[in-house]
Amino acid sequence: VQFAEVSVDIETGIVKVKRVLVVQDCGLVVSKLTAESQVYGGVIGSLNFALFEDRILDRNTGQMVNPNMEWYLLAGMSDIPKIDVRLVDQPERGVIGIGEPPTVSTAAAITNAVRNAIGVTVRSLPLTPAKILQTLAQQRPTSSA
Amino acid sequence: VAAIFRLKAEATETGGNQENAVKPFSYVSPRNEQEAISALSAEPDKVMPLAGGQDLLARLKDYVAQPDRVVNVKAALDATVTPMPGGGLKIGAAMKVADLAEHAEIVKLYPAMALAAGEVGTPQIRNQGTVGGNLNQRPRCWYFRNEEFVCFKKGGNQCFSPAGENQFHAIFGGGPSFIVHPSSLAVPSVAYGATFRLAGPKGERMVAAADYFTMPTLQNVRTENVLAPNELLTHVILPAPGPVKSGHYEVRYKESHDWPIAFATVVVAMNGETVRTARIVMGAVAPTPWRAQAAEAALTGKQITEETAAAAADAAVRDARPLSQNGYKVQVARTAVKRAILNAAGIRTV
Repeated sequence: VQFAEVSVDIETGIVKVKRVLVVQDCGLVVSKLTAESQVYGGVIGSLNFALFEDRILDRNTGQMVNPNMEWYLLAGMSDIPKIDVRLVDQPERGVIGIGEPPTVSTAAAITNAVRNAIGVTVRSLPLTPAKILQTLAQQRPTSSA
Repeated sequence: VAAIFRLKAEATETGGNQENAVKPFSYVSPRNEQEAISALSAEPDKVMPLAGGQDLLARLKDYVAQPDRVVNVKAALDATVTPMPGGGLKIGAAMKVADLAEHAEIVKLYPAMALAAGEVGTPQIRNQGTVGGNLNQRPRCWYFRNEEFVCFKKGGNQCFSPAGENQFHAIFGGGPSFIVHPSSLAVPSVAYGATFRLAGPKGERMVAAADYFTMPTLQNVRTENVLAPNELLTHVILPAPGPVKSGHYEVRYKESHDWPIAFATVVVAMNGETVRTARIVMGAVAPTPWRAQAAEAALTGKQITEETAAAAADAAVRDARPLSQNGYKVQVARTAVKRAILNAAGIRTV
């Protein structure tokens, strides 16, 4: 289970993730340090999925126009929030995997937090300023436009 | 780095760069301005100056620039800030962007310039890149930077962005090229009324920052400014600021190492509580720094409040003509202008 706290600047469409809380089952915890570290990595990977990563293909030629670190965005240190991890230690279940599970819920948690913050749902990832502003503009009453 | 080179070479085996390597070039390191200028050539694209390398090296590796000679101008050009007689400061073009951001006099007298410098790229880029390099860097348009797309700027006969991926392209100007000017320092330079000193074989000439950057036409589309291939931008001269207040606001998706979606510099002279004159310049919205005269007029004679700032910001983007995917930039630019105005008045924003 994951929870996300975000702030959305509705004048620029920019989403900042403030905090992520992760409650992760992984059976018997063999090494707390490495298990938690795996969760941090998974959350950051999924945060990139939610906010930044986007392979942009030119619609006419199919060429990728952002095949570089300049335009293919990945979170930097200052884009990564405080991440709290609570491992659910269940030794009776034995050793089970924790490779992929932490990456599954972050993007959904962030997207739901954004919906909770601005009252409208963005239906595709990443949550770019363009999509946030377009969604806000479409769903607002026309009087305020 | 070697691995990156190899991958790039393999990927382009079927087309584009035939050599599969950066074209060999000669390299000279002149010791002064005169030597540097005589090492340049009047013919475009043959000889290129190198300072911090934050633009040219990337273009060489992307096979977008293929000069015969590279002239290292780091030692040849001034890297200091000197006071001008009668007030004002002269910034040497070889000064590091990081040094400009932290220079005490710049921070005190031209805070928007210092803020803009502090927002460039990353600490590494700011400590390597120079003022002259930042002002003269080529567009960051992803079609221009991709060797496969031979656009107007590379001698081709089209701009690929209007019918292609244009979410970061210009919302002002109307072509024929829809790049946005990449320099963060160009915008405060225009807002503060800076003058650029250019040195060439026939001596020096002074060009106002506002006249330095050129809107694209079919004739001049391969360049972004009036600098001739055998000239160097040697100094940025900022006039005495007088009793003005300034603000700078940049909207970037990521906190660091990201290009701004839009930004604005505002310089206002006050008459008591009301604005006597204002200069409002937007960045990353047009092929040049884009002065918003309608916004300046809307703000003149008014007190700066949330309402007057918003009205001026509305005026700033009224004539925007976005492409198919960059309509959101109108709202982002409006916000940048509004917040820069409020910041100039000392009102804190997000």
